[in-house]
Amino acid sequence: MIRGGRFGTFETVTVLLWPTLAKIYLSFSTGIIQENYSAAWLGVFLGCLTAFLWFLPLAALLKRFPGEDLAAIAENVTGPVIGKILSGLMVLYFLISTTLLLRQIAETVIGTAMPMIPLAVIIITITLIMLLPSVWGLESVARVSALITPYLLAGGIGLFLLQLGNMNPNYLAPLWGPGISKLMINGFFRASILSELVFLGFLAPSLPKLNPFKTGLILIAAATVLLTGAMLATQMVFPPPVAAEHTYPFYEMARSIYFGRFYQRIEFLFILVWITIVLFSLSLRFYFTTVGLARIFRMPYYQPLLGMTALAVLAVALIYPDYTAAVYLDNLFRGRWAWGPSFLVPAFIYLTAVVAGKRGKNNA
Amino acid sequence: MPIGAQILKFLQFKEPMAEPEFVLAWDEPEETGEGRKREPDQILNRPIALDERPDWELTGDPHRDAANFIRFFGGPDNQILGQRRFTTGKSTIVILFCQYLIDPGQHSALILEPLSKISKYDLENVLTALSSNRTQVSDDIRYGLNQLGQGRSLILIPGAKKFIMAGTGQAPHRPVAEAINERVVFGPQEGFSEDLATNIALVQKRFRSNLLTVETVEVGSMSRTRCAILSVNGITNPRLTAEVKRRINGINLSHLTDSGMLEQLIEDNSRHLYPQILSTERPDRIAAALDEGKVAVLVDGSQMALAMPITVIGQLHSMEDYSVRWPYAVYLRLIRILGAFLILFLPAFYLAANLYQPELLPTDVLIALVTIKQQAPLPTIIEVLLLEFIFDVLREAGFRGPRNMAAPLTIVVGTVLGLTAAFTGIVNPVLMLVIAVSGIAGFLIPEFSTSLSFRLTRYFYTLIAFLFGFIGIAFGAFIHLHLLAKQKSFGVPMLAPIGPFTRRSGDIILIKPLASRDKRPDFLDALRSRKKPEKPQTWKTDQSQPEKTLGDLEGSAPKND
Repeated sequence: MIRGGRFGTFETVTVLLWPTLAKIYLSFSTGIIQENYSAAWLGVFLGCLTAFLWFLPLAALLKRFPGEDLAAIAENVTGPVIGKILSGLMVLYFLISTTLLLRQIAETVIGTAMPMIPLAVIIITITLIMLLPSVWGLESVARVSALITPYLLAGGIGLFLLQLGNMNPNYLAPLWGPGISKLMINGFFRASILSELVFLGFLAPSLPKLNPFKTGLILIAAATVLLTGAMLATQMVFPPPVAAEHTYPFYEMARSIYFGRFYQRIEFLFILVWITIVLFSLSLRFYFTTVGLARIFRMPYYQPLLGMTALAVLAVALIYPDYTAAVYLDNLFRGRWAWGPSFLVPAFIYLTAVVAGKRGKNNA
Repeated sequence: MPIGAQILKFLQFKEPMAEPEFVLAWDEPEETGEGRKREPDQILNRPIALDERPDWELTGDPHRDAANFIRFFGGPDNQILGQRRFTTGKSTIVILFCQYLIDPGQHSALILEPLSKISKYDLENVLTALSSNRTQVSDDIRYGLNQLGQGRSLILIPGAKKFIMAGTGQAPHRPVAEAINERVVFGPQEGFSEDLATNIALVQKRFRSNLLTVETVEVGSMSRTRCAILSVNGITNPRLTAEVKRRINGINLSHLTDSGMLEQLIEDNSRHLYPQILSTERPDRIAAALDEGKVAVLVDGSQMALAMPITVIGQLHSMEDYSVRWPYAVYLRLIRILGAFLILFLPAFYLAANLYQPELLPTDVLIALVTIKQQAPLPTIIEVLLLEFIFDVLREAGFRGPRNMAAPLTIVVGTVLGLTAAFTGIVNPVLMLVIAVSGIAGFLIPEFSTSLSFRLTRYFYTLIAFLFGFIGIAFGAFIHLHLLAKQKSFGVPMLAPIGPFTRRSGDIILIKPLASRDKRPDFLDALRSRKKPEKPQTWKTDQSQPEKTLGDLEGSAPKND
């Protein structure tokens, strides 16, 4: 049996929160700033609002089929062939996002901390580290993510507070950036910013008492505040033309902290925070990829798939020609189109279930 | 088996055992709403007398009255309470006593011998026979229960609706050794000995309640070593006690010599680096653990006792924390936690800053380090590992060497080695400082096994910092935390109560003032979540004369003979 373990609402929220927030530590924010200029923070906010609307059918679907995962629900509602195709689309997105993230982390480590290390060495090391939490099970990931949430939050928020002296609210003008209509369109596509909500659909069997709506709502609220606040802080430190050219805006923020001669270059303390967050994100994505595959093929255990999925992730991550390509594809898939597999597919399944009048076994 | 086949076997997926792992469930009031409403009596199916007055009276039938007393001690399974019966003609008297708290010689000379000479058992005859002893007559059952816990014997006489309490010496004691490894400034200094009965008595001296339960089992087909399982009726979760018994009874071994062996045989995961059972030489620590709802195991011939389950946070607690005022306790704990971080990370940080991110160091320090480093012939990683190893060698020599010589010899050798190494420029003096601070921090950890596990983990961090710098330390911390989070000790996650978050007991890292610290750890799922039903300092609110006097506490005023 695939047993996720035993944990509560807070742990579930934190498990999904860090994969959601991790993207701002990489190049994601650069992409949004390039699109929305000075209104990038509004773009993030609108993206979160849109994601909330998309989340409603997903929550309704999980409530209609309590205790079942999205793969099983898809097959129940649309039949085995279409159901497998639909859940396959979701898992394919998980896989691609994992590979993109893996490559970006490896490249970021090289770019910020270890310029001499060969890509193969660092990417294989990160793959192995990504693999371990899945071997040990979701429960330990949930425990650790809940445990270190206060410290990661303190680290992240501390970074912004240390930059208070460098912040200039004038950088936020003009307020509407590229214009309201363009901002709205960008905001709609940026619903992908909370695409990690779809993982809830694969947690359901592990957490029979989970209230998907409540958990999702807490997650959306927390992520909206933190993502918008982080973007706002970045924009107030760097004017849009500068921020849009930074490969790692948050790293640059950490680098520009100055405390006098004795405390210098404290960005490496910040690296400890972001590497932990992105490792969480990576291992969680990998876990859900493997579990999703196991559920599609109705395997009782996901562990036999771990080795070959890790190998596949590593191989695909090495295919991307360079960091720029990985960032471009990440911005395209995870940044703009992730709402398709994450929200559109569950919404389609929900509509089909409503039309066909199908309900879960435990919701007769 | 060829190596290739062995590797393949290792890589193959093994289906988990059908039997679910043991989980000591904690309450989930938000989901079930039934958490704390469970009545201990329903679960235990045993009479509970935690803070209830006995509601029965003496009948004059010693067998029936003895059965009632035994019920209050948790039933016949509890080996704390011993009994003797003497029959003359048709009359029988029953003598009850806490067998680990009496002096067997005095018990025999002052009670058993005189009673065996009586021809007819009635109150007058027995009192006369015991006239050399300090006796009291009472009919207050609560008083009797109380006095049994104080090491006195209770004599039930046919036809009398009263009992006699007789002094039977005191708890057996020997020149009890000082706790050597877990020393404290404040608090008791006693340590366990190698005798099981003495060790039980040492615990019972601090836990005289009739709720203390002791069950003895034998382990080892050849050694037949006696192990005592201690728990508290009405407080300890019976599932936990049953699990401990199940594991001990499931051991098939020919020879058990020490509690350390038992620990390895009953812990959840013997391949995990961190101890999952607390091993202590302090009876007060065991008594405190029992009061919290843990189970303790004493092994005959071992001066270390085991308490389970434990958590990582609990391993950083010392008994001294409870003896000193809370601000000092908080400070001591923070020092200890800082010490744990120094053991784990200091050499790794030094290595990472030296090899990968020298710009992290202040410029003046960096220039000084570079100057020293130019003269050092060894690579930094070799220097670090060598010094760590030498420090551990010196420490072990200090522990194992002859007591009178080890400490001074270690100091002399350490000083000579250090000075020679520094003056000849073989190793970096700054690094020596780093290793010394990290090594000394190891002594802050109260428990020996935990300190050892931290020291071993330090090598892991040192190596990963050598390979990947600060990024490597983050990688290591990520793996380390997951390893700790996945591990359970008798169904309790090792990172509890902070991973998972459970209800606060006021004694985690920070500690509340003693008067506000009235909850048992939630993760233990004790049958009573509060240690005290009401505020412990009633004198603050109640200005009147307290109703409970010593005499009232001990029952109706006894008649002294």
